Amino acid sequence: MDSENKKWFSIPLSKIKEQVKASCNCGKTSGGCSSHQEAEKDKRKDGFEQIFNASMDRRNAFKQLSTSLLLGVGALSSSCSLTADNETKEKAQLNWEEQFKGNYKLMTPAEKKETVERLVRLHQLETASNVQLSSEDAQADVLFGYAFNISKCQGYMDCVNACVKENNQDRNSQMQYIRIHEMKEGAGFNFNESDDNYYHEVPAEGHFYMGTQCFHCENPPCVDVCPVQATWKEPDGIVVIDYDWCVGCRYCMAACPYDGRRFNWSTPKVSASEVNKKQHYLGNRMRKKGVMEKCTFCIQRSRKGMNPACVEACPTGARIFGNLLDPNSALRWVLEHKKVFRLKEDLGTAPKFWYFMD
Amino acid sequence: MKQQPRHAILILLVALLICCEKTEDNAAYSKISKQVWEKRNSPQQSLISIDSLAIQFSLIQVGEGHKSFLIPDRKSQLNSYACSECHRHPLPAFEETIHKKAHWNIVLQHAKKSTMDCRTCHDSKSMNHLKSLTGVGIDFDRSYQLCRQCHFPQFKDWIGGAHGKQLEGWKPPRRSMTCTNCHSPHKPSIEKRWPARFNTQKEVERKGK
Repeated sequence: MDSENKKWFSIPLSKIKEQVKASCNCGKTSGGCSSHQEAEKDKRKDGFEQIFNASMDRRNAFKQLSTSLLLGVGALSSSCSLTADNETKEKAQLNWEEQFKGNYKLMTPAEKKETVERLVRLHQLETASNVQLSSEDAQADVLFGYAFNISKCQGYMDCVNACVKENNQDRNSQMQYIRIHEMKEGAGFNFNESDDNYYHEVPAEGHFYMGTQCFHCENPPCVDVCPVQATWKEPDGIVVIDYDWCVGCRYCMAACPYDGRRFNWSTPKVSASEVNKKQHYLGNRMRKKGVMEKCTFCIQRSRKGMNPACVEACPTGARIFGNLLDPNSALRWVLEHKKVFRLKEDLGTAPKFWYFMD
Repeated sequence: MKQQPRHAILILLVALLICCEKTEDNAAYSKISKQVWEKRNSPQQSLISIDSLAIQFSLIQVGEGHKSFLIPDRKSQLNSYACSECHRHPLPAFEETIHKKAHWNIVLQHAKKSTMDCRTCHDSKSMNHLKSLTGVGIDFDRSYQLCRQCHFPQFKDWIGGAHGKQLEGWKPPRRSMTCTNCHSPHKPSIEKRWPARFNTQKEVERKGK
């Protein structure tokens, strides 16, 4: 594969392959033997082409033909049926198109717009309510960062409530991206012995509070392990997930050293009146069963210049959000003048989430 | 002679308009103070967040060193400002009269009595102003100049951006809360309260069904 031409990352297996090829049975280094033809097959395939323009042998062709026939019959029966109404047909058509869309990361602006329109229409057909779905891209010269003051946090958990509300998290399983750990003073950062589900008057005597969530690492291990490239780091530093590309293998959940990721074991349920309708494709739009999700620094808010919901909800001012590339931002002042640290610095993940104290 | 009644009507109209505005203002104030009171009494939220109240406040520029940012103004949020509406005479003149019972709800719980009393911050001669330790007048909108006299490490952090909640968003210009938006100057310590949330599902999952 032409390494300069491709859009996605892959493990450099091609070099290993070349060595194997050179020592194949025919003894030649090029042509004449069927194993040498593989290199010619490789060319950039994207979205639709990945499925429909793939070269294949006869057996695979029959396999795919029969599968697509079955799918087609299903779609036909609903879209061309005389008994089904127009809405059902439209829904089937939209679902069909959604099924064959590419990875969001590889989409052109026009394709992004199309999928957003489809999703909005589908939501309208399913729930009879409108949502504002955005596909806003990262702004230039912006790299988001976060600072957390462990001497200011009082453990009120207003941030958790605001986060759940803003990001349409599943109410049944009470999923929450943020955890506030109640830690004993003088005992170090001992997460094993801290309590993240306390219910008593806070701040408790002799304790301090420390919040964890997705740290949006500069070198995110969760992105490296994803087998389908459904998660990646955006130019403004936010690590995002394409919920429609995620296969739910949970490798990323295992790879994250900070417990930043959450899995939807069941279809997320949010009552219609509580749904936050200002959504982003990569942010708080409704998820499906069996996909990963996590904090996105409230991408739907932060890309509009607002603070994430947790920052806005915190009554103590312990949470500071800002642009790391702006030398005049409060965040930069904190990083330059306070004693800051990050969790598990030795792993080399370089989180963009710093802790500091007064 | 003909123009006199016209003048009179005009004056009456203006007076009426002023009266109307005044009553509207009062209504707005009482609405805000009611909201503040409700928030303060609710067990879930003992702290008052300006965002949650959605008060339309005007912002004033603060510049210290090379840092410059915006803070909410204070005078428009004070229910009983201007103080001179009652305090027409210097404070000592009030002490012997019935007015001594005013402000009964304010109990100073800030520092030891030997360190401060009302007159450490309030200018007894000019009640519309605060005063520094050396007697220099300070505007109510700039009360942080009073706090910094003792709490200079906090003041330094506030100017830099490490102390004090950010308002509205991360984009410049920076907007921050000022000292008195979170800390009552008469009782600056923040009370304990209950957390806003308890995750029952987590409890069930961890303890086993």
